[in-house]
Amino acid sequence: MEIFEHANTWTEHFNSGWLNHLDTTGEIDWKQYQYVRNHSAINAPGLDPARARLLLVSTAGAYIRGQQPAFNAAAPRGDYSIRTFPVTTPFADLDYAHDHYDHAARQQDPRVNLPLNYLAEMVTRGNLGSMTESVVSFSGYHPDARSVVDEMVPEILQVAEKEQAQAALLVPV
Amino acid sequence: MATVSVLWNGGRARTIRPPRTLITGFGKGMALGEPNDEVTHRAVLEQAVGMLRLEAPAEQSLSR
Repeated sequence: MEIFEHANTWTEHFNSGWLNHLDTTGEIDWKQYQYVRNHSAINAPGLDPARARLLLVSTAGAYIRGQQPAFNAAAPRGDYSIRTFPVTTPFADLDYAHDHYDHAARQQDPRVNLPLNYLAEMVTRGNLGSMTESVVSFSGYHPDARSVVDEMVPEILQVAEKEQAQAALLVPV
Repeated sequence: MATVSVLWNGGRARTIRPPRTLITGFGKGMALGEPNDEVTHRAVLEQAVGMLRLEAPAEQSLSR
């Protein structure tokens, strides 16, 4: 089961179309962009969340101000790096680098993107087994699906394995 | 590893066919709901985490 079907065909189309246009003109033309289309869904068993360790993955572009480099949010090709920070990190210590969503809601209430307090409540109530020590964070603008699969996903899986996550919750912006 | 995604709009995600998705219908930048709407935030997360029990693929809309 491939998580990215027809990856070579997609990559050829991306390189010769969207990316070539960007490289030659400096402009982004979404008319030349082809979204990934999978025909098969992954079949996998569920698990009991009350017995699982959960990894929160956020696309909001959060990083620890002064300790971690900001994401390159202005990069037209996107920034495929990830950051991790403890689930106990105060919101006041975080900054955000992501140019492709309206930050107004997040500025009013950062829990709309990083619902760590609610997940901690669920652990206390016994609805969720535990949280991993870290949050995985990235700046979720990624036109190059191949780089997502080849670069980002292995890094995220490395964190998940190291922290013994049995489940992951993805909260895109 | 079981995964679940909370999405404000399911349209694009459906083409990728992720294992488990909860479609909330809120705006971009606030998939969990309006700022400071703690009741909704908790409801979204409880439903999303609950979806981990389901065999994938699974898609639900927010039930309130």
